This record gives sequence, structure tokens and C-alpha cells, in this order.
Amino acid sequence: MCVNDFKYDILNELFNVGVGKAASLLSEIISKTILLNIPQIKILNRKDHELNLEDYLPKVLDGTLMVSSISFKERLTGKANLIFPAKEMRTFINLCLNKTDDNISDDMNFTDIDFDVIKEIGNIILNCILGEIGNHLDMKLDYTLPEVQVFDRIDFDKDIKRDECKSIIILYITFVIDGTEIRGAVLVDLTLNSLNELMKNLNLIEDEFNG
Amino acid sequence: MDEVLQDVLLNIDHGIIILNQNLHIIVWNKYMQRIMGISSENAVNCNVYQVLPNLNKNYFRAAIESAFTNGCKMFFSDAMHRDLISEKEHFNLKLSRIDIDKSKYILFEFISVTNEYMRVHLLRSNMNQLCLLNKGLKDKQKEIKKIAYYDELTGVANRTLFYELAEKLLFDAKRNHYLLGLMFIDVNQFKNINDTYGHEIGDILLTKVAEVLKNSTRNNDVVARYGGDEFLVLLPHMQNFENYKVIASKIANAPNRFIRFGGHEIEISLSIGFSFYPHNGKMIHQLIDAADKAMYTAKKAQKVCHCAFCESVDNKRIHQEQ
Repeated sequence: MCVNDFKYDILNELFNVGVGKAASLLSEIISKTILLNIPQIKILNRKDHELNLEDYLPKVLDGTLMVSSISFKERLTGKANLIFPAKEMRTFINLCLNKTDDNISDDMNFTDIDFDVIKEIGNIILNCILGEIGNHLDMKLDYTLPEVQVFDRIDFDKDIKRDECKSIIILYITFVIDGTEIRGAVLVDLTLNSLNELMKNLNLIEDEFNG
Repeated sequence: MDEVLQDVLLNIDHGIIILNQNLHIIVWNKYMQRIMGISSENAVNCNVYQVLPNLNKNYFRAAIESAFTNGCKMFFSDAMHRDLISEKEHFNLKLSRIDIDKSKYILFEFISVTNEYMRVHLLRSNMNQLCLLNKGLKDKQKEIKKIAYYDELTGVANRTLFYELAEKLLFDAKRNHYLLGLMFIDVNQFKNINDTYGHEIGDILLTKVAEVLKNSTRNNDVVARYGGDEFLVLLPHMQNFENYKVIASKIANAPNRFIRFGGHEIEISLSIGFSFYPHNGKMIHQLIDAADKAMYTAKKAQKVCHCAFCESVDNKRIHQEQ
């Protein structure tokens, strides 16, 4: 599917607003300043499993990954995944809970409480992103609460490849919380029909814009 | 059936609240009555923010509005929203929209995670104990290693460590073709000092010798107590034979070579013999023997500090120097 620059710009803008809202909400909850880098998006189509996801995922996503996923259906069907490397997620959680990194013993051991925090962060970010798409493109979405899973990078690639969805929108996002940079990505896995549906609605906006 | 479902909702083991679009509570189940100590009569038909004032925050209000408008399901963790409804217990909150006919309602589910907190607390405390235990074991291991490899009195390497390091350095010298020096040091008049001033002073003297040797050699050199009043020093990567003079001079002129006690002053007097791989031997015991012989030659000269250079190195003659 050919996606022109204009459609990319609209999508970028929608994701940008969504991530901005998420940052502002999160900032209010944890009472800390959160800055974010404007997300850059990529749309990938998987034809005959030729796509090598590794070429597109940021290098920072290596080793153990914490993945928070929301499934959605109705006008669009797919799954949105918020991915952070475990190490960055640990820093993220500690910043959210005002904990310091000095206790090495529990550094990389995620407890149920940590998983709840990841679930909430995933809920906020993914909800804001999907909410923005739903609202602006007038596409009603019904989605679940996030599930949190821990993956090895290789297993995550396999899991994504196993998925029936044929298109992936990747957003590279960076949060800066109190001066600490946390880099991750959002992968929105869509069925081909859903991507077509999304493009149809983007066309409407493009037509409206061009008069 | 409606009655059954309502009964289930009222008795379920989660805190359940249902709001209408005016944000008035229409269901306040028994679990909520128990944890909040507010009866159903006092909660139902009241505004949710009146009954639960901690929810009256921007992000909760936005979440409720978003749930009404878009049907967003929201999750709030106890970790990020402490004391939301109780100071004693911990609850996660799920918020979702229910559509019945044309009316929209918001369902609050307060799920207790108090047991998880207790388990995590216990786990953390066990982990910290294990960490402390592990650290203690590592410290003990270090201590055992120290006892096995270091001389208790002087703190320098003992024979075991000397032989282990000597083999490695000799192998390295053979492979990389460098000069490996070995010093054999003996304390002059040690028996007399021991007999005259006592073993305590003898021990102080040996500790001082080790200190002088450590201070006069490089960080990579290996100082070891060979036994009694004998010390060995391995000198890897020596540039040339003549460098032994620098080391000997440093030892002879070490500023801390004196021990003072009860009006007495003893100047440390050492006899030192040098040998070198490959010239004096290809095995460690050969180098020790050669350095030992050189040390005896030096001792005969009866000077404060002597170095004897083995004949095979120095053009078939024994070289002595102060």
C-alpha cells in the first residue's frame, strides 16, 4: 500500500497529539515534568513474511522487553503494543513511584506491583493514541485493558510474526522524565482491512484539505 | 434473573460502584460498605466526588468523561495512586462503561491487592536478607582466599600464591620473550635481633621488611614471604639486567627502613640475590636456587644491602654492589 507524505503527516500529527496527551496525563499523576520527542512513524506491510522487523525496531529495544498490549476491534481490528526495554522500564517505574535506583537487589525483578504500574502506563499511552485516532478519524473502537508480558527480543519478533495482522505502524517514542531519557516504541498491529479502512478515512481528510 | 444479578453484584468480593451520567452513585455494594464504613443508604444517590473525595482530581474526572464519551476502559494502580479509598488496604481501580438501552453508566471495580503488597514486602525482605547473606559469604570467601594465599603476619603473598603467580609469569615471559627477574631476600642478623629484643620485635621487623619491599617495587611485581626471614620478589617485564640496581638502591635507601622502640633503633639490613629468566634457568626452582646462591654471596660481604648478580649473566663473574 502506497502511503503518501500527506497521509503520513496526518498520522504523525494524530499520534503526536495522542502521545502529548498521554505525557500530560502522566505528568499530572506522578507530579513530574515529562517532555517527549515528537514520534516518527513508519508503516510496514508484511508480504509473505518477507518483512524483517529487526531492521525497523530501534536498537535500544534489545534483551528483555516489557510489552503492554491492548486489543481493539470494531472499525479497526488489531493490537497496540507499548514496548520498553526492561532496564528503561525499571527506571520509568522508579521515577513514577519516586523510588531511587540504589537497591540493586530488586533492580530487574519485576513484582506484581510493578506490573500494575506498567499496565497503567500502557493504558494511558495506548488509550490516548488510539483515542486520538478514533476521535479524529471518527472510528469507533472497542478495546481491552492492557495485558503486560515480558519477552525476550527474539521471542517478541516471533510473536509479532505469528500475528495474523498484516500491517504494522511503528512509532518511536522518547519520554524525558525529570531529565532522564526513556526510549521505547509503540507497535500498532492492524489487519489489512483495518489499514485500508484507516487510509479511507485519511483520504477523506486529504480530500477535505484539498477542497 | 435481574434480582440474582443484583444480588451477585452486591455480594461480590470486589468493591463495586455504578454511576449514572449525573455522576450519582446508583450501586454501592457490601464490599464498599465494609472498606469505606459508609452504608449504602448514605452513598446511593450522592455525587461520587462527595463520597470519595480523593477521586476528585483532574485525571480521574477526565478518565470518567472519556469513559462516558469513548467507552475507554481505564486502569489505575494502587502504586501510583496511594490511599485512593483506604489508608490501610491497597486497591487497583478498573473503570469501564456499561451501555444499557440508551443509557450509559460507569462501573468502578476496586480490586484488593493488599495480599500482593504483603507478598512483595515479604519477598523484598527475604531478598534483602539473601543479599546480605550472599555478601557475607563473599566476604568470607575473600577471607578464606586471603588466609590461603597471603602471609598472616606481613600481608604479602605466601608460598602458594607465589608459585601460582610465578608459573603464570614464567609462562608469559616464555611466550612473549621478556626478561623475568627474581629477588631472593634474607634479613641479616635476624636470629640475633629475635634473641636480643624478643619475637615481638622480630615480627615487627619482618612486617617492616615486607613494607619496604612493597614500597620499593612496582605494582605488578610480586612480593612474597618464602618462609622465616626469607622473601621472594618476582619482577616481570624487566627492560634490562641493569634495572636491578635501581630496585636495590630503592630498598637500601628506603626512608622507612628503621624501627624504633624503647630508645633503640634498628636499621633493616638485607642481603639480596638476583636471578633472571632465561639466563639463570627455565624453571622457577632453578631461578630460586640461582638467586639464593647470589644472596649468600652478597651476605658474605656483610654490607647493609647487597645484590649479587649471577655469573652466567654477568660475563662469568660475580658482581657485588652496595
